[in-house]
Amino acid sequence: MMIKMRVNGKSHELDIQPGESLNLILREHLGLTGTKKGCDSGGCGACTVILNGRAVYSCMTYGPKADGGDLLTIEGLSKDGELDTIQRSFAELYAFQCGFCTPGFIMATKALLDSNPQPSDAEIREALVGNLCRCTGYTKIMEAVRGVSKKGG
Amino acid sequence: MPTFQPKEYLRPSTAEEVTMVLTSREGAVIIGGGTEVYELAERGLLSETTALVDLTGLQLDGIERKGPALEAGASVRLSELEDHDAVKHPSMGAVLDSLRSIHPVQVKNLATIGGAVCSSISFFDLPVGLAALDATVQVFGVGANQRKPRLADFMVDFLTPDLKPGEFVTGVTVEPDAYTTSAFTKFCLTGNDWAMVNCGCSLKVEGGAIASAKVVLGGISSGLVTAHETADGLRGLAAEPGSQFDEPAERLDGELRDVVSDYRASAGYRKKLAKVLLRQALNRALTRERG
Repeated sequence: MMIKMRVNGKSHELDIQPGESLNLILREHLGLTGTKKGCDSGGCGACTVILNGRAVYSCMTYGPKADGGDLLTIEGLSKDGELDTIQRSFAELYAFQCGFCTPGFIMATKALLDSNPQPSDAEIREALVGNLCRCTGYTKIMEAVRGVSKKGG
Repeated sequence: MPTFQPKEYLRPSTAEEVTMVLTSREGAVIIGGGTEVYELAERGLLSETTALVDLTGLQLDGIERKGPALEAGASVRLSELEDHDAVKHPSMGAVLDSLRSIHPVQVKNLATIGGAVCSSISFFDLPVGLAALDATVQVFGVGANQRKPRLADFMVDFLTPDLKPGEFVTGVTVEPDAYTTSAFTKFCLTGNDWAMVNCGCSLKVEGGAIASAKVVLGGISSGLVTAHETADGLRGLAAEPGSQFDEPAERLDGELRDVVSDYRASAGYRKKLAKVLLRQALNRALTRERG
């Protein structure tokens, strides 16, 4: 079946199988492998992308449901070779080690700060509760998110 | 590896078309937000699914007040309902609490009201919050036949909603004015966990006392449990936040029968949790009522 999506500002028309997930479409059809395939069951958050302005798990998003959608993935954040402020904050404050979960954390943070530029710690935790990190720990990640919001995102 | 290879993705534009598809195509299944599709497929529960039917074309995405009723369409996403002014009134507290207790936001941004009730999973939070407000389910069927079963009756068993061939859910209705306040509480092990037990209660407070009440629990059995005797026992009690509510809690303990026992918790533990959650829900509702 044919679907249309706008991904990182670019329009795509894709021929997909009806059972494919958005994660598979991004990674296999579009080669956007920055969006990770982690648990593949809606439990780790590594596959988080922004669909129509809201954070979603791409592994849980039934592909055809994204037809007509406007998507932002980790590849769409940097501009002209310059890291986005969230990416820079994660790098400067050492908020990652292996980095596998990082795209998901950054996209969940992006969705949060787009709707709430000055979140409280409780609001940051609430927004990131669906993202798991197994090596950095959450203290540095919290610092990185606070760092962006203090600078005004 | 279970097979899940639907051949078609259908987007009917009328309710009649949906019933026609459901009755004429073997293996056609409605899709809500789709958050459970791959999990069900992984468990082999969608191996006979040949087509998924998307209700987006029916525009069941409104939330509106119609006299005493508040109606929400089946396609309304949980995050949209949570953000809506309609759930900010104290009487809708059980619904708002249940939505706020659902994590993570990535799921709330996809999952729909229709999917939450049609899943018919008693430990899901939103159905308990809605049932505490006497929610009814709008069902459309063959011959344009419509009926409105109570949500607590509609969720017959685990993954078994009361839907006949060709029927599907178009929305959910509550009547918020029947109560002055309500609240929801749950117990789970982690921020993202399913509730082990959850509890919703609605109260009508008049002249400083509880005039009427509704108590609903999830995670106790395969369907929702409406605690009628406990609700009756609340009538006439002082509407004082901070109360222990020992008598209602003991009444609930006696009323809960055939409580499920599984790898997550024993029946006895669930009954103890239910008493604690009832107390918490009642006090949260009464605190909310005071503003």
